[in-house]
Order: sequence, then C-alpha cells, then structure tokens
Amino acid sequence: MLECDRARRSIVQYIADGEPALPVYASLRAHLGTCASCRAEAERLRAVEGALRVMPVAAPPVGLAPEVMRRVNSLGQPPREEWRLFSWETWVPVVAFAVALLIAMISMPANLLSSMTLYELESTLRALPGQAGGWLSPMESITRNELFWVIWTSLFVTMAGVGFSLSLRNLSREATAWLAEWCDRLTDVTDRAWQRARNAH
Amino acid sequence: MSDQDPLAELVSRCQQGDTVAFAQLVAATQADTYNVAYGVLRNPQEAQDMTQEVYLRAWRALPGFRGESKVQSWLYRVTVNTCLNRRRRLRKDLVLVDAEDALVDVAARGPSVPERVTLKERNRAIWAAVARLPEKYRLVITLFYQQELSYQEIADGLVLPLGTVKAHLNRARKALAEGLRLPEEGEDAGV
Ligand SMILES: [Zn+2]
Repeated sequence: MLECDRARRSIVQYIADGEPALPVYASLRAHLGTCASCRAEAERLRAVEGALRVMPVAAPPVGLAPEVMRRVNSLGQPPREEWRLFSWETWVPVVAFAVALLIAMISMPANLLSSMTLYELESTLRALPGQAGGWLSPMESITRNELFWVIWTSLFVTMAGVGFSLSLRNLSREATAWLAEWCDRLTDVTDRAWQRARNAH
Repeated sequence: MSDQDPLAELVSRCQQGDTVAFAQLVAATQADTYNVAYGVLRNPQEAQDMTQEVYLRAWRALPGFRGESKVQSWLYRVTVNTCLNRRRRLRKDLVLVDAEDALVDVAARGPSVPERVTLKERNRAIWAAVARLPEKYRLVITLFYQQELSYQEIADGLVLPLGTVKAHLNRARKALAEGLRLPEEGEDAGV
C-alpha cells in the first residue's frame, strides 16, 4: 500500500510525459510490473492522455473576424493620449506627486515656510492626532541623521520620478521608455548612496 | 521586441493605428483566441462575444504594449482575463459550485464508458468529462493540449508559478482517470 501511494504520486506525470525511461521512474516501473491496481490506473491515465491529445479544437465562426474589424473601425484610433479617470495610470502619478510634495514640504526649513500658507498646513499635519502626529514628531530630532536624509531624499526622488514618468506615459511612449531608464539609473545611484550610508553607520 | 516573434511587425503597425495590420493580426490569432474562450466558457455564442471583446480590448491596449512578452502570450492573457471575468459574472446567476467539489464530482461520476466501446466513443466520453471540469483545470488543459503551449508558456500567460500549472494539469488528469472505468478492467462495472 505504501508502495502504491508512492507510485500514485509520480504516475500521472510519468504517463503525461510519455513514460520516459528516466532513472527517477525506475522504482515506479518496477512497481507497475507487480501491482495490478496501479497498472490499471496507468491504463486509465493512458486513455485520458490519448483522448486529451486528440481533443477537437473549437473553430471560430466565419463572420467573427469581419465583425471584430467592423467594431474596431467604428472605434477609430486607439485612444493613445486619453486620460482615463480612476485608471492606475491616472491615480498612481497623482498619489506619487502628492507624496513627493508632502515630503518636500515637511523637509523645508520652517523659516522658509513662515510667510507661506504651506506652513499652516505643515503645522496642521504636525498637530494631527494619534499615529500621524506621532509619526511626524520624531523627525525634528533625527533631521541631522545622514541615513535618514538619504532615505528621505531617495523616497522623494522615487515618488517624483514615478509621478513624472507616468504622467508622460500617455503623451509619448518613447519619452517614457527614456525616462524609465533614467529613473532606473537614478534609483541605482540613490541605492548605492544608501548602501554606503548604511555601511558607514 | 523579440526577433522571433513574427507578429511583432504587425503590432508596431497596429500601434500607429493601422487597422489593416490589425485585421491581419486578428486573422492570424482568432482561431487560438476563440478556442481558449470556448475552453473557458463552453458556449459558442459566449465564446464569440468574448473573442470580439478581447480584440476590442487589445486594440485599445496595443499602444501600451511594449513587447516584453510575445504578442500571442499577451493575447492569451487578455483572453483568459476577459473570459474568467465573464464566467464569474455569469456564475452569479447560476448555482455556485466550488471548484474542488466539481473536480471531485468529475472523478466520482467520471466519463461514463459503456461496456463495449470504440476508441472514438471512449474519447468522446473523456472530452465530455473535460467539459465538466472546473474552469481553471479546463483552461490549463485547453492551453496545454489544444494550444500546445509549454508549462512555462502557460505559467507566463496565466501569471502562475510553474509548479501550480503542473499541479493543476496533474489533478485534472487524475480526476479524469479516476472516474474512468475501462470495460476491460472488469472491476466494479456499475459506474
Ligand atoms: Zn500499486
């Protein structure tokens, strides 16, 4: 029985692969020589395999392609520069830009912001209750930490890069490809800087 | 774009809005698309509607296709997603059958093969049992045996791990075989 359990585990793949004379199947083949029940299972699997290999393909109806083309022609040009609301191509860059802006805002020295309304927004953010406020408050104390700034800057660059490249995506695929490569390189540089900073610590 | 892909040139023309090139792409791939759609949906009208839907989506999405994969694999992916979504929507109106339950059901009831059968009749019974398999199993069967894709190509097309593809195929084969009662065996004749 234990033998059968072992045989049943590999027999399906063995039959499906066309019963190859591989060493891994040596014990299975030996078992099939002595066990009628597993031999019957092999016979059933062969029947299934044979049937599946000649299963008829469903042919498309004659009018299908013309109908497709009629509908495509009525659609006109593919909507290359369309901004689809709620598609990821729209909201991902928006969110990325928002995060980049938030990072830049929080990073700016307070005296630069003093005359701007942004400052008020920043203080509002800092005054946020619970987790959000708690997350923002320790930043004051670690602003001189080199590692922090490397991560912070690379996060900003990534977010801005994602926002920027995805915004251009709908305008020109070539520009996007070029930008994507450029962003990759930039990420590489920041990555290396981060590694160096981490090793230094 | 990969050099081996004969459809790559057509695709770049389609991306410029060339509908003649798209018509050629449709002509070259519609048999595969329709067969996969039929494999999932098991209904000629549904398969036809979804094939049209696939090409309309493809036409809209082609400008964003960057040639990371072959056009055919990309089309398979669009087809599978479109048809599985359709199936899900259709199933809301039908009795919900758990995929594993259905697999067990096929294994239990099996392709009913009468005492004396020709090979052709036995094959027909097995094909009928394939139609009763849950769609995720039917789908890999269609892609492997009819579209003659490799395990790796199926894995890429369905965005599944290679092991999962093999496991799906083996479970389907096993379920089909378990239910099968070959007359020459003589063991429990009553199915
Ligand atoms: Zn055995």
